[in-house]
Amino acid sequence: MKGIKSIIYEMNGQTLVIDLCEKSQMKYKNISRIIREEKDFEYLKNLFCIIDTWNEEYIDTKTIDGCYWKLSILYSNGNKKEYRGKASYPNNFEAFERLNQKLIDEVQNG
Amino acid sequence: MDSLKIDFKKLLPFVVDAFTKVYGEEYYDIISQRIYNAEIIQYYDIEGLRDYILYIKICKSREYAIKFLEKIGINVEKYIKNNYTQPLDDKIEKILEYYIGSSFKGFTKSNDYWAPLRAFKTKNETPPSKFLENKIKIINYLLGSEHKQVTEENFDLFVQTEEYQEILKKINELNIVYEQLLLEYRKWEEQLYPYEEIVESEEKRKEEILNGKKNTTFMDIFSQLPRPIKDAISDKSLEEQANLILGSFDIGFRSAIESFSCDRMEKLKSKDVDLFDKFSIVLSQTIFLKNIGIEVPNKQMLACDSEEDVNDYLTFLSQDNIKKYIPSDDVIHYITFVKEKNYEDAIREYYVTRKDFLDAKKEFVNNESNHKFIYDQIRNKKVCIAGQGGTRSDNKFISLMFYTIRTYDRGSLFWTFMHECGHIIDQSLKGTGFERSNDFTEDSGKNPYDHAFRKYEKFNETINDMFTIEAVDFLHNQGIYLIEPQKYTVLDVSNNNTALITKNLLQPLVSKFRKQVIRAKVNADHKELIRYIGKDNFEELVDVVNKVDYLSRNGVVSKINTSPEDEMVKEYFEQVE
Repeated sequence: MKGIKSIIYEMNGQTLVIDLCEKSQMKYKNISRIIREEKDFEYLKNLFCIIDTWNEEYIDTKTIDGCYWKLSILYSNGNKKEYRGKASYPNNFEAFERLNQKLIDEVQNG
Repeated sequence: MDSLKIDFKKLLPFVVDAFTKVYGEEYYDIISQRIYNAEIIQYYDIEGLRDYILYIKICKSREYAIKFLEKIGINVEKYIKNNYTQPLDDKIEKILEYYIGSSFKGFTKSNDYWAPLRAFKTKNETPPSKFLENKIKIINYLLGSEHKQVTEENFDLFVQTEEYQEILKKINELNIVYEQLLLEYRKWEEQLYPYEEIVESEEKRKEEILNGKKNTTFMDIFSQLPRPIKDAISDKSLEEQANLILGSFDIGFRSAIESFSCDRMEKLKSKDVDLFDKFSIVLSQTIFLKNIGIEVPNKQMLACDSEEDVNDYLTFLSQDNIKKYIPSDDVIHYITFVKEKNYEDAIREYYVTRKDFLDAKKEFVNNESNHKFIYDQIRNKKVCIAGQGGTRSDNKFISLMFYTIRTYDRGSLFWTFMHECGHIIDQSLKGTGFERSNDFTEDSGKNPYDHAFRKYEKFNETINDMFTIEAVDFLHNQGIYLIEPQKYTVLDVSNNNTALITKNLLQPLVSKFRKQVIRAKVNADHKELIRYIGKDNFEELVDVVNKVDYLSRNGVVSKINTSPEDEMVKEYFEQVE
C-alpha cells in the first residue's frame, strides 16, 4: 500500500492496529481480522484527507483526566508520523473517530 | 434506557458505599459529604452517543442470536462467553450465517437482504438474485453436505419435490422462532428512538450551520480567486461554486484548493517525503482541477507509484494552460485564514445553542468566563472534574464533574463514572489526591518524559484507578452492575486510563502503606505518605511511574516477551527493579 506499514491508534489504553503488510489486518481488543484490500485503501484515503490539517500535538495539561490519544503512521522505510493529544482535538476529529469505528464495526460484524 | 440518560442521584449511595468499603469506615463522612455535594453536569458527545447506540444494538443482537440458536435446539453452551461485549465465537457466527446472515445482520433493519430465513417471507423487496442465493444457502445447509446440492440451475426442479415441502415446513417453524425474537428486538429498539433522534437532529443542525459558513467563506474568498477559476465556475450556483472550490467536506477539512500551498508543492518535489503522502496531495489537487473542468489524463501518473510518476505530474502542472488555475500562496493563506475563522465561529454557534450547553449554563454564574469554560469542556468531550473545583452560593468548595459517553467508553460507562468519583473524594481547596491545586495551571511541573502530562499526574491517576477498580469490584461481587447491565459491561478494565504495568508497579506500595496512601490521597497531601516512606523515595517512585508509563505507551509491553534485548525492555526492567 504505497509504502505504509501500519496505522496505530491509541486512546486511553485501547489500541487499534491496522497492519498493511501482505494481508491487511485489523487488531482491536484481542480481536484480529483480515481486511479486504479495497477497504483498507478506502480507509487510508479518508484518513489522509482527515489528518491533512492536523498539527502534531493537541495538548491540554490543565484538565484532570484528559483523554490521551495518539495516531502513528509507520512507513515501510522506517519513517514514522505521529499525531497526539490530551483533552484536546483537531477540528475534524469526529470524522476520524467515525472512520475508525466504522472500520471496527464493519470488520467485526461483516 | 439507563445507560443513555443516567440518573446520577440514584447511583451516589452505591458510590459512597463502595468507596467507604475500600477506604475504611472512618472516611464515610468525608466521602458522602464530597460525593453528595458534587455538581455533575451531563452532556452529549453526539459522536459518542451515536457510537454507543450502535454498541448496545450489537450487544443486544448477539444476545438475541444466541437465544435464537438455543430456541431452535442448537447446543451453543460451550461457546457462550460471559457477556456480549465481545464478538460471538466464529463457530456460532458460521452457523448463524445460514439462518440469519450473522448475529448483527440478522437483527438490523436490512435483515430482509441478509437473513436466508427472510427469503421465505412474501413481503421482501430483496433483489431476486440475492433472494434466490439466500434460499439456496439455507436449503443446502438443512439438507446437509451429504445431500446433492441445490443450485440456481436445479432450484426450480427441487421446489417441485416432496423434500422441498419437508424443508419448507422446517423453515416455517424456524421463521416462527426468528420472527418472535425479531418482534421482541424491535420493541426493545424503540426505547433508543429518542436518542437516535437527538443524534440525527444535532448532526443535521451542525451540518446546516457548517454549510451556511461554507457559503459565507466562499463569498469572502471569491474576489481573491484567479480570473480563470472564476470563469470556469461562473455558470454554477453559489452552493455548487462553494463545493467546487472548498470541496465536498465541511470547512474543518483542508479544501482541495489549499493543497496547492507552497509547503505542499515543496513536499511533492522533496525526495524525503513518502509516496503515500505525495499521492494524497496529488489526489486532492486533481479533485480540485477536475472540479473546475480540467482534464487530468494520465492515470498511471496519478497513482504515484514511483518518483517518476510524481515528476510527470509536476511537469503536467507546470504547463501554462494548467498553471493559470493555481492560486498564489498568498491567496491560499488567505483562504486558510478565512476558513479557520469561520469554522471556529460555526462550531461555537453550534455548541452554545445546544440544549445541554444551555442547561449546563444554568448551573453556573452567568458570565463570559464560565461560558467559555463550559464550551471548552463540551467541545473537547471532556469527562473530568474541574481542577480548581467550584463553589455554591454559600461559598463552600464543591467538585464539578463533566460527564458524557465517548466513543471508546463502550462497556465501561460505570467504571469511568467511578473513576471521576474517586477524584471527587480526593478533592479539596488543597488539590486532588497527589496533585496540588496549582499543579493544574500552565506553569505546573511537567512529567520529564512526556510534557503532555503533569509531574504527579500518572502517579495520581494510577493510584486512583487501583482504588476505583477495588470499589467497582466490590459492587460487582455483590451482583450490582450500574449504568450498564452485566451482559454489556466490559469486565477487564485493567488497562483503562492507566497501564496495568504501572498499577503492578505501585501494588507493593499500596499493599504495604495502604492506610498512609489513602490518607494522603483523600487529604490531597503528599506529606501524609512522605513521612512514612521519605521524600526521596516518594519522588523516585513518581519518577519510575512516569518512566514506565512512557515506555508502556511507546510499545514496551508487546516487546517484553518477544525482544528481551530491546533497549526499551532493558530500561523497563531496570526501572521496575
